[in-house]
Amino acid sequence: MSGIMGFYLPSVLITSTSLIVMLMAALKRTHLLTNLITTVGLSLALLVQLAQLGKAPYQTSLILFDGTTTLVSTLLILAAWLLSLFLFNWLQNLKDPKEEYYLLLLLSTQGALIVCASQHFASFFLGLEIMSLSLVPMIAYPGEDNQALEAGIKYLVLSAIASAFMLLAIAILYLYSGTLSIPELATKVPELLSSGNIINGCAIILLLVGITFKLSLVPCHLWVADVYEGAPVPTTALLATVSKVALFVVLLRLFMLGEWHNQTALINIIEVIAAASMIIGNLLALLQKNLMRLLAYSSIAHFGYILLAILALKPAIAISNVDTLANEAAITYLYAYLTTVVGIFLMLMLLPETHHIDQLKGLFWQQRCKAVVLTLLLLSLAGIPLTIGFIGKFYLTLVAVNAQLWWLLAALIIGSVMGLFYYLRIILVMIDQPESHSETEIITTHTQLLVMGVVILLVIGGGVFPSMVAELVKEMIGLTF
Amino acid sequence: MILLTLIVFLLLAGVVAWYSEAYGSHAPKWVAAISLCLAWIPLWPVLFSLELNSDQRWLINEVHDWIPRFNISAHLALDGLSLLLVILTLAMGLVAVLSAWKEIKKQTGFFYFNILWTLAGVVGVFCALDLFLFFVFWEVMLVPMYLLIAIWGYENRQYAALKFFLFTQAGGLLILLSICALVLLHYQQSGQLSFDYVDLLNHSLSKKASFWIMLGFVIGFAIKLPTIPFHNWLPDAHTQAPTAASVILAAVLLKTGGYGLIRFVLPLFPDAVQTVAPYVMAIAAISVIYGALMAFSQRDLKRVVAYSSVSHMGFVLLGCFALNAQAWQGAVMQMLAHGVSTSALFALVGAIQYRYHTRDLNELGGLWQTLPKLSAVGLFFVVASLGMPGLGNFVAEFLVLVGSFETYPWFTAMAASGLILAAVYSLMIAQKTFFGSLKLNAAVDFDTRETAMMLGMAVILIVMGLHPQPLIDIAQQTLAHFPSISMGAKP
Repeated sequence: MSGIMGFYLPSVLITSTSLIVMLMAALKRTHLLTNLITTVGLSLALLVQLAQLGKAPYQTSLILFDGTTTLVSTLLILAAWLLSLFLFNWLQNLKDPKEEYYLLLLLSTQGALIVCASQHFASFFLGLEIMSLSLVPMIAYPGEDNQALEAGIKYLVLSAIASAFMLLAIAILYLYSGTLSIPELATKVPELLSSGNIINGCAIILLLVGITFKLSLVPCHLWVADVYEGAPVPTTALLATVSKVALFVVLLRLFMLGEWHNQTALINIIEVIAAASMIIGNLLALLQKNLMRLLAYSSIAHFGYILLAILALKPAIAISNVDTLANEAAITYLYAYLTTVVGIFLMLMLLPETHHIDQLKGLFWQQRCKAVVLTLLLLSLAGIPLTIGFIGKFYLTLVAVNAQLWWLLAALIIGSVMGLFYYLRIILVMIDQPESHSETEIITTHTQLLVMGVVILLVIGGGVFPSMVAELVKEMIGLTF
Repeated sequence: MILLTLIVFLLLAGVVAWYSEAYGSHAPKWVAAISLCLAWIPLWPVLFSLELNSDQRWLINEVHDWIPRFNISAHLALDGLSLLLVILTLAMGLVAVLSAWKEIKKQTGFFYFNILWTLAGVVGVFCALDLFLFFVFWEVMLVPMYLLIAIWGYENRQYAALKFFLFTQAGGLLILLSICALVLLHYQQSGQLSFDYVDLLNHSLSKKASFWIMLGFVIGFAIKLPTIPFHNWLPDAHTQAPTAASVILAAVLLKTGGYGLIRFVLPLFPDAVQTVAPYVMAIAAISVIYGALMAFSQRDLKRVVAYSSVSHMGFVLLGCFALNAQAWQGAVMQMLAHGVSTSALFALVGAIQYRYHTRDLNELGGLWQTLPKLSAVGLFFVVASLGMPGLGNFVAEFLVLVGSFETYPWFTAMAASGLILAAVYSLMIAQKTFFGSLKLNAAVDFDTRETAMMLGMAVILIVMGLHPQPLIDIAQQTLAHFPSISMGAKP
């Protein structure tokens, strides 16, 4: 029994922390204490979750705790934990009430945890709505900022539409298959699709639309830049990492279970989405001067890359059947993406009011420590060796070559070179000599140094000695029913 | 442990150089110079116990565990070819540091950090026998070089740095793709997942597969070499880079392309190479001529030297794909000779730029009257670059031409005409800079540091020209193990 409790404990901890924070906001508002409680709650949850790594899997009809869930949950809590460490200073500068932000952060993390553990559409939808609905106020949090309000409303409306699409899809699938359980559906749907009834195909497309919206893949990507630009930085970080990673795990689970690779039409659609996301995402980012918009567009491209792993889940025509390699590739890339992107947003939180790329000018000579960390993180996003980003890209290339996805690989190469162009441009701006030489080294606190250290350890440590990451991911993927 | 020690030593030296800036802006250059001298120590035992005629494949062979998930190990090894290139790297690294001695005044710590890390990456490229490790070093050496150009370069440095990085990165990704395909096909056939060069040598790929994989490698390496039509990044990168970076770029970074062709493409795909050889030979011959013509039409002294590199590296490509032992030896010799002579020319241009703040051929002239030492040395290297008998470049180009003539006489004839064009642009450099009427003010001539550095390189070139046999023997230690492809057979 205690073993089973262990799986729920992180969620229980996070939920109770959110309840305490809510009560505190109702009874007596103290920012420092709220911050402390949130941080302690997330730290405990992270520790408990870390202890869960490697435990035998457990499932109910709603929830599945296998190796993948445990590993991704760890990453999600890690991201939230890192963000919570930086929130105090950032919120202090805000005029609005501060305590609710912690509540929303905890709730959206909780929602993401449910999403990534769900194996039933009921739990999936519940988690998704908890996550999305807490993200909306987080986006619109600075009440006096019209841009943030606009972004919040945009996200609210669009995400509600996406949810409606998904609900409709779920309803249709339930109508024809009589089940809401994801594993059962995943095995039944390919049969339903082959039966020639066009409505099932529509349902799958609708579901895909909902998911592509949340992952901001190409035909449904238009919201992403505006929301990233309008939302406050920590929210954007959460939006870019936690919400997307959780949802991608569901997509991966869906495709792992059934014989989807025989559905040529569907695979073709995903191939087009992937290629278009890589190319268009990078093209949009290419000459972008606003940092947030640039990161938004680059995230489109990154999820285009990860789709390669899903497309590679087809053993039939593979060169060699390297068992679970495609899953490992997806999870490793998610790990790389999450740690790197969270790191970048944390660095941007340390450089307040930095929206435009030119504001970074000369950073390398003024605040060396931050600039070096930011440079390494950008190189990781670009996939340069000795960073975790390269390991992720290496996995993807390996599985894509294995599955012989040549055209998508061409898109990957073109996309990566384009990506490198704009990442390098940021680095160029940072190393540019400023006209006025002012040695204003802004003091970094111990917490900030700790967080930067953790990020560098995850990104560079994982890149130089990738065997630990590789073995962990392989072992965790193996823990399944 | 010897090779790992060497690489880690250079990396650590880079960090020390960066931190030593706290003790004054002159400290980093001393750290860099001393550590480049100390870097020879690990190689001493190898140099003194060189047994060339033994059947031993590797002079040093060391395997360290790295990523067991994919059976990737840090496999470093040294044979004749890599020994020569590692020596070139260390020697030219010292030249680079010496040529930057007075030129670099700002951010010296970070500058020498980047120099040492580039050199460490290049040494890694020359020693790595695991394809994954090779790729890692291949990419890692780019970042510090990029920073060198982007921070300490001249007017248009950011554009040039970006172009350099993007071109080589595109080539790098092609190489990565080819590596993945090669490894997976090998896995399919043998059931053994391995990135190790020695294992992969025994692959038995289908003709079609090996053709495409080889093409990926060839294009990736050709970008670095560079050959037409991928040479576009080189003139900009060379022109905008600070002198020291130009020296490293010309001396060793371009050689990684040639090294990749000889080390990986030729032995791994002996059959596929034959099918593309005629086309590559044509491209090589065009490169030789095009580079020479472009060199002649430049006004910027650095661009002249840069385009002459394209021309000279065309000979390396020619030698590689002539597919016989003589031409291969010529290609290796050309890499070494070009490494020395072109570095010297870049150092010379750097010295002129340092004194006159211009590289424009039309503004220079008559330097012999004020700077006799510089001009005399300059004339020597200009003559070396045009392939004067008795100097290293002549031996190299001669061997390449003799070797290629057996297989592809027409392309060889075309390439040989490049030698005449080389004389044209080389003499143009000499005439426009050293002779004629003096257009500029007097300046200080070479000091002891510069004279010693230049004379050292001149001696190396003369020795290479008069007594090349030891070098050929060392290179042969590697080349002897190559699968004998069509020794002189007509395709």
